[in-house]
Amino acid sequence: MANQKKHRWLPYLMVLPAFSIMVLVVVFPIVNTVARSFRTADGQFTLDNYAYFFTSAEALQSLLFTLAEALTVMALSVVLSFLLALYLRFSKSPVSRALGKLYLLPRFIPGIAAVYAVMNVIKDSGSINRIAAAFGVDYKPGLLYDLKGIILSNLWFCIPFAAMMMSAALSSVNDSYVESARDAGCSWRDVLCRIILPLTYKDVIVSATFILMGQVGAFTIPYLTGPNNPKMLGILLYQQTGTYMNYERAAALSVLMFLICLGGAIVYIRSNMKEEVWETGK
Amino acid sequence: MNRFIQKALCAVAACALALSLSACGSTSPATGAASADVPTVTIWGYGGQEVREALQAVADAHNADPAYNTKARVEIQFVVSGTSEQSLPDRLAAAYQAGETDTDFDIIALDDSGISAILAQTSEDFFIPIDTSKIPNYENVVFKDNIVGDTFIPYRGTAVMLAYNSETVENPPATADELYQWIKDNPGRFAYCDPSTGGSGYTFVTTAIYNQLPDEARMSPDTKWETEHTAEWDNAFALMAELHPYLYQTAGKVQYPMKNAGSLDLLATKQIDMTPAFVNMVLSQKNMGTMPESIKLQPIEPAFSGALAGFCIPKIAKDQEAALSVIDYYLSYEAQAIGWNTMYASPVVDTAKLENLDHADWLEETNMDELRYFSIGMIQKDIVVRWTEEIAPLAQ
Repeated sequence: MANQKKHRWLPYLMVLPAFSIMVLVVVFPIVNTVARSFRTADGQFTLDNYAYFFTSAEALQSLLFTLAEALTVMALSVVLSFLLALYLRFSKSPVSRALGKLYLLPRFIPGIAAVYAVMNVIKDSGSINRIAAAFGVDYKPGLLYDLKGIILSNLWFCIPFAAMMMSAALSSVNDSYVESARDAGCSWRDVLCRIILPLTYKDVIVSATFILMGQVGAFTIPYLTGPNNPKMLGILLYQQTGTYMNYERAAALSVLMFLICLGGAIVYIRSNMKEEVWETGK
Repeated sequence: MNRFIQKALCAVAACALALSLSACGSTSPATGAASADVPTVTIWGYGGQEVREALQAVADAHNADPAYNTKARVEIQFVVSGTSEQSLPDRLAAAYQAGETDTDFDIIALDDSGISAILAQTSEDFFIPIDTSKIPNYENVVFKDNIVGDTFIPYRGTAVMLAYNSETVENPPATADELYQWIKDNPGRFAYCDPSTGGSGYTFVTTAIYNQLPDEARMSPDTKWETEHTAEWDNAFALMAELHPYLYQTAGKVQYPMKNAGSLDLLATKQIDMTPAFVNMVLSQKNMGTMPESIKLQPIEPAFSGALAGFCIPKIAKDQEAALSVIDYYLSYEAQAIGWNTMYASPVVDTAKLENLDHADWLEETNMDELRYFSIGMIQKDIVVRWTEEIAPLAQ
């Protein structure tokens, strides 16, 4: 007991490295950005940086465009990866085993290479167009430089990510639960709704919030595959520094984007903290 | 248990200390010897991969040349665009604001258009004046008149010309007015990239303004060329708006491609017939076979804006004498030929004196003797901003 008291500093010492890195590279830049967003270039206090975005039609358009993109990507990738994960979990066929290895592949391909690969397929002169041309049709998909192009490219990245998280969640569904439910006469629908979903919905929410937050700040994919207008918020942010060289306004937009993501973070934390009745053991 | 942890921690700390001490012991004599013999000069650059390769190829030749490798050893540090690395201007600003004075930012290789952005983040005297009398090969440079200020030594020219598909275009436009007419006559067959993302699109917009201004304007960063010539500016942007509906379309609307590569890709896949393009990019892609042979380059009158890429020495550099020797090598005929052979960089020296050139005929086609040099400082930002506010919103 005395020994334990003497070493009360030990846990603090152990978290110190991680904590100081967090402060240096996360907390300090955030504080700095928030402070800068309320200043003019010469350091005077102002609210103009925020007023600019609240009164600009372009910013509103960007916000709506970003939300449309982010929510679509989130919904599609959650549904598609849940189906994929279910298939991988419950099918024992060679196809499913092969898929189980293949679907991880995109996680190891550099983002920029992957975007160009997707672009080469979907652009108006890309693979789709060429295959159609082989059948004598000049089909221009019109996917690239459009919302559809951004969504398609992002699905390429998000589905493997979400499927990986959901596969991990589904591995907690014991075969015996499913078998006993089936023995007791449960339909597959009931197995899904009463056993699988309650066991995995937290991970589904977690992956959905991760995807949503990632999309709000997305840059490379919308930059290369998106339309000139409207722009996603990440591009609008880049424009504030790259074209306008207005770092204070960029800081304000960063704070606004941070607040949007905060919504996702709250959902994430709440779903993690919430304890199920069966988990508390009462 | 706790005692055990304490002991373990002590052991780890002791090991770390011992390791770091022994590391110091083993490396310091080696680096000491190297720096005593030949100073290392680090050239920092940013931009496309081809620029990195060209700088590296000349650096390798430099380090193998006995006349130069006793004075300095060149290393290239390069931030390739499109990676998520911190940009070079940001790094320079960070080093400057941190008050560092003895950095390895010995030489900065950059397009002259990038200078003003760096000065804006640091100070007006961030780059030191370069004493050209200590650079014998500076005599070789043919574009001396073009250079603004004494802090910049050009080693490569960049020019934009009209790249077109000779299969579909028999008589390419030879003047700017013919080009504007051609765009209207051939809807959907021309594109220029978003000027904030690529120099080829930027020069298309810029020359539309400067073709109406006196010739001296293109060499002056004075904002009077903007504030006192609003009519010419308005004309140019009205022209851009007028051309807008005739440009390349996809997904049912006009699209300005992203980056120089974006418009070149449209040309290579024959979705358009014509676009302004950097000469070296077209030639490199033709050489690699990714650009069809039928794509040709056509200079127009008045020419698209050209620029120079060159070297600056920041005042926070550690060894400025050795840096001058390195710059001297990059201006040699030998180095200029390597620059052409690796990235089809337009030489800044008399091209007749270059030997062992690949595709020497291409050099003749893209002659740089009449480089229409632009150096307009921060006005370029205003051009891009105005385009972003007035023309970009049309594309939806």
